Amino acid sequence: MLRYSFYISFVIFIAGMIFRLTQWIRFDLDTESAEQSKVKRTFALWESLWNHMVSAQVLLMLKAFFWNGLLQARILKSSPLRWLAHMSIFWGFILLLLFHALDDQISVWIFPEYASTLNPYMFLRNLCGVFVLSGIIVALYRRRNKRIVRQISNWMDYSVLGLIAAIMISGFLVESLQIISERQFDNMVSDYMITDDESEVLALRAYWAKYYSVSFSQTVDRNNANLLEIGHSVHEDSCASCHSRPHYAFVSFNLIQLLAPFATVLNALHMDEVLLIVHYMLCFIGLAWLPFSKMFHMISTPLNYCMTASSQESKHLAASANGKIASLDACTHCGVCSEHCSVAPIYQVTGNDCILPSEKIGAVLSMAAGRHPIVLESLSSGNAVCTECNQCTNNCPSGIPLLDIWQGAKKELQKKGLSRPEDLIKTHSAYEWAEIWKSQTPTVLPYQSFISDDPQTYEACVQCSICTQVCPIVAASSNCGEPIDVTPQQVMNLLRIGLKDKALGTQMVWTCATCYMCQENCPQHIPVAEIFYELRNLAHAQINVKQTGEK
Amino acid sequence: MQLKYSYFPGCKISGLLPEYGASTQTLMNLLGIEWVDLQFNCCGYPIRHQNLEASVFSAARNMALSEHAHLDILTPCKCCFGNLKHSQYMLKNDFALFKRVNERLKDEGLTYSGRIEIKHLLSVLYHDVGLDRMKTRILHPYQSTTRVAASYGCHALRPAGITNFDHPFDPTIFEKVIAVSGAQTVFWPKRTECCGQPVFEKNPSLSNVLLQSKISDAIEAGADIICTACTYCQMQYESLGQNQLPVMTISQLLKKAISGN
Repeated sequence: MLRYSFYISFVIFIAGMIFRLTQWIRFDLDTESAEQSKVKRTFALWESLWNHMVSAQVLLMLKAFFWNGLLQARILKSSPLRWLAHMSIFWGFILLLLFHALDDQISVWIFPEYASTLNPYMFLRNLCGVFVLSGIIVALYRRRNKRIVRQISNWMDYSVLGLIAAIMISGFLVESLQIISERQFDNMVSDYMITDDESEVLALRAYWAKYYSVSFSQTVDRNNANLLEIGHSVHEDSCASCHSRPHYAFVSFNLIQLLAPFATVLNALHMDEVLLIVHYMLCFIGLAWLPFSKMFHMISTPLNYCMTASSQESKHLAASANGKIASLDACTHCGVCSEHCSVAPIYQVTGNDCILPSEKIGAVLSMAAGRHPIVLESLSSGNAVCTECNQCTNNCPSGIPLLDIWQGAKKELQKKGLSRPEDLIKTHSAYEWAEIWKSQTPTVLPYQSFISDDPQTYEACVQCSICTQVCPIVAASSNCGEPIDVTPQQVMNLLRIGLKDKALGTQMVWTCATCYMCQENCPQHIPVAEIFYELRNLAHAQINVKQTGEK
Repeated sequence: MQLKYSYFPGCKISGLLPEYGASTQTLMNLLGIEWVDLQFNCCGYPIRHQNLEASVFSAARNMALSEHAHLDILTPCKCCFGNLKHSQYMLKNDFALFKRVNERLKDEGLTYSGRIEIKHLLSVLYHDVGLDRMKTRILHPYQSTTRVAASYGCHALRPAGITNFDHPFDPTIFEKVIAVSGAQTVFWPKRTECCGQPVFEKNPSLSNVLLQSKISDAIEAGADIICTACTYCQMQYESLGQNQLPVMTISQLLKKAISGN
């Protein structure tokens, strides 16, 4: 059964890898990429792989692979604690994979004397397990205790950590249950003992009960010195060459102390076999799930390090189209970008998670896959908030050129018809907007008192037109030959006669340069510029509603 | 007295204008101003068009961080300065907003009380360091024939009642700081007007008209150099100014007068 389970999971793994790798060809991050034929992009993928392999760039790439892939220098730079956790998980797991899971293929060749039940292998195996588990504890601690990281952590992050932890814990349990298993002992005796002498077997049982923690259902005299001495010599003849004392497996051995009261029941239920199957199955699930989960970053992230290390520019649009998607795939959802994101506080207020780079990257990927128009809207408004401070790119441990992706996405979203509010507002006149918005339920902004609703704000206006005369936008737009639709003084008048809805969509309100000339020069001390800010706030809220309403 | 501030570069310096940040840091070091980097976020200026609450919260988080470090904020950007000041004013006068903002900050273990001051680089140079002290450091003064036009930047000047930077229409501190370097300053009528950057994305041609009228005004006044003290103004001159006049930031200008490069 285990064999077939392995085959199934391996087939899923291979199919999944093909599925994920072909995404680099299938997905189009932007229109230029979409224009490249898929055949061309398939060739470009091979070509760029080949070109990199045979060029001198390979040295740079090897260096990047060594420092960032194996020693994970970029993670160390971003956070020493996270580096410690990730190195523990990574190296603990890799060593277990190579020398424990693949021991028949690797360990026996490198270490001629290798047996899984000999020291130092027992100790090292436990040590690796401890490294992985402690790394997972630190990773969980980070995900629970850093505010932004806690907010972005999803089921995938937790279930991957959970799966690896479950593999480790089941491994320890299997080892301790095998140590105490009477049946395992009996099988070994019948397989490897040359004599059939009952008394020798009895002596060996006593010896193993005392020194090897086997739990026998019938009582064994563990304190009979004579018996133990015979047991010792039998042990030396038949067992010692393959078995070290169990306390070297320091975690599993200590687990035995916990399991001791239930040893008889556990042995009777063949729990060692059950747990072994569980342990195997968890590993197979991990293998099959790898290409579909964030664990795929084991492949994509080192590849991205190599890709960015190479200064060789991709000559073809097709190759760069592939490269862009491949770099998106290098994301591990670690959340470091969002921790450093300059506009993360805006997310705290508006709740649009597409403001945070770690979430935006998923939305960009679904845009590339051609899915979810709703996601595109949040992406469009979230991406518009980005101030291009470049902190995400500077801090990304995977070395993804994030800012380039955001800038590309901005252009692409416009091509897809998701206009920025400042462009959308130009598509109708202020009066048309007032009609469009009339039919909608007014959006409630989180702050409720508006100065534009309070007549006292503008009732002192005498329409002296000083605001209009000092406004640089009014002057410059008439110099351009495209005079602005209404002047500041006229906006004030709209408010005075109760036509605030007609003021929201005016070009004057939206093109205001916020220089405060109007407000500072107003003889009646009317906060003209502040009112314009507020009207833009209200119009932004309305315009966002409209876009969603159309879908 | 040792001057010490938390240094608030703002997003655009780290992303698009690193040389302004680097020269400001060098200038602070040369003048013996101590500064620390805190984990600041956006000042909230760009989002204020869309969502005042988000803007004020962004600003408040920065100010709370600096309060926690018991330091006043020093920023070389006038838009950051203006928005931090404006948010401070809002939080002082709108108690409901103050409460909501603090409720949000509590999640991070921060509080905003309004204890610290927000200072622009120019105010620090003029008020805190002092012109006399700066003069003693000038080892490579500009020739007195060099004529510099100071481009003020709206968001520090106005609304003057909130920013308390200088006179909203007839300011002097920028010229006084430039004069320390040995150069001559020119008077040009449009020095306190908008550079056009705020409408750059919405209407590039209009933005260019605004900038060009400023540049031709400076040329008419006989300026050799335009000097800015704002990240956004500098970006605007660099992207649309097309080398009509050399444009440099105040930190580059003073750094050169102090250290010779």
